[in-house]
Amino acid sequence: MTYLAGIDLGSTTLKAVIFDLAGNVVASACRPTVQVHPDPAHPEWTVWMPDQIWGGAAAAMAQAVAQLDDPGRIKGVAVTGMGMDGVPVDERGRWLYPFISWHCPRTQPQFDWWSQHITAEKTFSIGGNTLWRFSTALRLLWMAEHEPEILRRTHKWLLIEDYVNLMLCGRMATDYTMASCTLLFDQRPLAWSDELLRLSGIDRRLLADPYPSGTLLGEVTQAAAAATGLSAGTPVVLGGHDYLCGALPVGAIRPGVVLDVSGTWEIVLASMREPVLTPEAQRTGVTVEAHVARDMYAIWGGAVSSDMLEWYRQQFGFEAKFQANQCGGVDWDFLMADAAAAPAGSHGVMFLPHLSGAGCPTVDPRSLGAFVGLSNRATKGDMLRAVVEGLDYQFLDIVRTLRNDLGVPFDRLVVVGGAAKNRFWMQNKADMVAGLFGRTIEVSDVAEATALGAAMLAGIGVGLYRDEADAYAHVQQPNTAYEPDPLAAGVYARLYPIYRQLYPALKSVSHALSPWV
Amino acid sequence: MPSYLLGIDNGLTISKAAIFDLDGREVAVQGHKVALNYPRPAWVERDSEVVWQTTAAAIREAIDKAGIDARDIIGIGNSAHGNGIYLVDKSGAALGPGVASMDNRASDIVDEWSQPGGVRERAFPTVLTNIWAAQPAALLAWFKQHRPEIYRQIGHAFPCKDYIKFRLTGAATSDFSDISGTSLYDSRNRRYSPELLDLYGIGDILPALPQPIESHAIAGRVTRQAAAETGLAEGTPVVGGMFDINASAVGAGVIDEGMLCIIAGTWSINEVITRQPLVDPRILMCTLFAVPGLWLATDSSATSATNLEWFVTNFCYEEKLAAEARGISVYEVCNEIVASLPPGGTDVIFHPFLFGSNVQANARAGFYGLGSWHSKAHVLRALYEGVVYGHLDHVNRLRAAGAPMNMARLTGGGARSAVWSQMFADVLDLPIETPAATEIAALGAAIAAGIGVGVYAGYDDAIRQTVRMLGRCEPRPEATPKYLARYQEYLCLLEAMREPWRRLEKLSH
Repeated sequence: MTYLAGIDLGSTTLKAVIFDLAGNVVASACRPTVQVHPDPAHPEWTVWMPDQIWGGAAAAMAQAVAQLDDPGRIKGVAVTGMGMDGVPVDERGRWLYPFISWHCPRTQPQFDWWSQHITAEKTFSIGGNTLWRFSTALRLLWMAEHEPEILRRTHKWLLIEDYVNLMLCGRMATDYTMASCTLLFDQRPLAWSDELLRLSGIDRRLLADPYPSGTLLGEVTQAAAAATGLSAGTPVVLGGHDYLCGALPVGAIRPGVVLDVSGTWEIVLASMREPVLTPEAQRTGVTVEAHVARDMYAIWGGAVSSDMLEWYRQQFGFEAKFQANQCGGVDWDFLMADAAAAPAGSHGVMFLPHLSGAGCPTVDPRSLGAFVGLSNRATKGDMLRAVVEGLDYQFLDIVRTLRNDLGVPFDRLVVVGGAAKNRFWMQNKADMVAGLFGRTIEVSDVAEATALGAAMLAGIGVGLYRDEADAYAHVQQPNTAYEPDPLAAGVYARLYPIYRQLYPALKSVSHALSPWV
Repeated sequence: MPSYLLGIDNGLTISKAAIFDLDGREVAVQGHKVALNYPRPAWVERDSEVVWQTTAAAIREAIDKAGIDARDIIGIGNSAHGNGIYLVDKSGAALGPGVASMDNRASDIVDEWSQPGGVRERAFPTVLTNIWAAQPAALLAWFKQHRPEIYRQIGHAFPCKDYIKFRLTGAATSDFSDISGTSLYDSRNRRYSPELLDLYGIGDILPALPQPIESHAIAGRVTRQAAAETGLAEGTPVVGGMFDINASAVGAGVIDEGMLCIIAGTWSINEVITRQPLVDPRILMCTLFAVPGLWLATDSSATSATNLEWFVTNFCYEEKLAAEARGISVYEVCNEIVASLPPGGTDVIFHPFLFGSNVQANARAGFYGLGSWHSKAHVLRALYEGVVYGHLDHVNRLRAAGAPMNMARLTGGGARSAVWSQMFADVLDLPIETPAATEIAALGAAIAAGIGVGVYAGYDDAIRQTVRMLGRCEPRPEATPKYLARYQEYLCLLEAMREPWRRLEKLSH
């Protein structure tokens, strides 16, 4: 048997997963990702310690490899993960300062400066980026201001995946998708942008050379072999950004296939052959960037999603938890049974899912959430169903923007991610998509899609798969199709325009109430 | 020989009988639910016979509970929900079911009357009340148009409490407080106006309308049959009684100009006593007060404490278990949760429109301004605050009409909560007192009975002897501006939601 390994560096877990060539999980292990607050004077500052990230990933890999009879069966390894967070290293590859985590608010002034002086419009027109407070370039600016001595000694600024690759094989490089989240990458030539480097004053020599995902990078060193249990000499291949890797095992790399990565955040992602970097696209809050699939671009819009169901569960889910304790089962089952018992349209209750602000297509961090349309007929089931419906209206908004405003073709829609296991939610999504777009949805139950995507890139890099399509043909699994309920679809088609009215109607009050200035 | 007074209170959902001693202390109370029936959309009815039988049972059981001799009850006062209508035929038998005060069958008639220059505008200077669909004026016009065979048989058209009084005594009378709220009465001149009835197209109904007497005047005595049904002594005097919103004011001791009475129950009732009628078309009703020589200006809507019941039913299982374990009510646990946040301690805003609204008819309740950092406590506190903002809307209308106000007494479910009472004081910027008695309206009715049978010299004297306060909250100058800032957003949201509400209503039809 021949295996491939994927390492997934997530915000809460560091995972190592070993697959066979058909994409079945052969072994896996994980370690927690540890947030560190390094400075008592700035309790909100958050970093990842490079030794913990590498140590955790290596330990997870060692535990997974130990489950195999022969580590030599692993023919390639690739790393995927969260992106954005980077670390300065010296010429010998020693880290000089921890990773500033995306949780860390310290780069707000740099964010403001960038927004004013370089502007979101300019950045998008070159790099396809949405500006985030934690975008990589802003950390470099922070470092230049607050730790110039460290920056002077810095040889390269490596993103978190690039750092793990360095530890695995000793080579400093990055891939297009990691480079895309720095704010400094030019999507057209797929090279560092001279203009953005000049405008930001960041030195090109700090950045590693970018290559396409799936490029063979090096071999596992003796030291890395000792730490990970992998055989020395195992090929290390460039992976890519986590949600893009997740598109590979479900075949969402052809124009026309829209991928819905549905979890804490919901990311609606499509692939295209040319980058759309227009001002219209920029205003909708989408991101356009190089794909892990060769010669392709990704376009995606995202918004916070199941995080709001979790909020509801935390605040209003006691009874379900109690029932689960009494009768067995898990609270989610009781919650979803309540929601399923309510009619489509939740007796007129609607939820605006902006508890953490509005994402694509109406980027507004100061928007706030709301339950509207309540009457005495409304039950807790209606309230919860309204939350799910609100999240799905938000999802429709993103799909609609990609399709109607940005001309993204839409033939098939595949859902992956944590929410894909929630049958009620998926049925609701199917009813909405049928009501608005006359399409059906497919739900993938592929396990560890993100790590598998990285492993597929490893397989491509070492020649076990010809290309992405060949890799997909090997790992392809049938998706679950959800038959829409035509009555519910009709209800949602009528309610959706009212949902679309809520944000503009409530915007000014939300801004007045918002704690964010 | 001990002496007692009986106060009867027929709300929309519960018939209650309460026996008081002459110091106003409650000796026994008994209440039973009476179903509201919804035979058609917009129709809301109560079976008249069931209302009477339930009331009779409550009286009998209250006497048993008190363990007293029925002959020691020296006087009986009635109060009940106003408006709606209870018809009896010329033999005195119930003529179909009673119509409740939220019935909407006559809405088309009222819409037609509300045309510019129409019946509503022309009637207003006489009736001083904004006609709505469940008022006897509109209902009688509806019966004449749509059920002429019933209309022809009408012997008496009663408000609820007068129907009960009729069953107790056989006498057909009303009182000024009830009849001046029906839009059938020329309140300033204290007479039925034939011109007004002609304006509604029901000039022929006059003989069926009960003649009002003073609330404390003796209307009749318990008949032999009623005595058998209720356990009361035959011959016990029954006084004119009053509209329940009057009875609550009297029972709370609100009988002077400048005093506001707030009832925070199913309805948000906000009423203020004036010496001259407060005539303003923005206010729901200006009626003759039960206490002679005074007027009552009332603005109300179904937007009050019942909103909390809905929340508790749906979301407070944890609190119910905690309450059971501690042997207290779930509402006390809610009060503690709300009190755990500082004033203005939530940015969440609630419109208390689960059961009705005080703006456009299609307005619905909602929680706004929610962020992921808010907890159930914030949401619950928003509900409490939203209910008070609903009251503030009404109180501000009364203020704008020129009602003098220097303090308020709070009754109803909301008054049982110290944190809610303080919120009323802070938001309304008025001292709030909460009466000690629980059956305020029954006490008000019993007070009228006591005056009628001569144990009290008048309302002042009666209240001095019977009405006690439980607590008083002063408005806190540091809290009021915070609440009022939040209230401005509450008002903005009313505007913002106008169109979505309209469209949601259209879809649900």
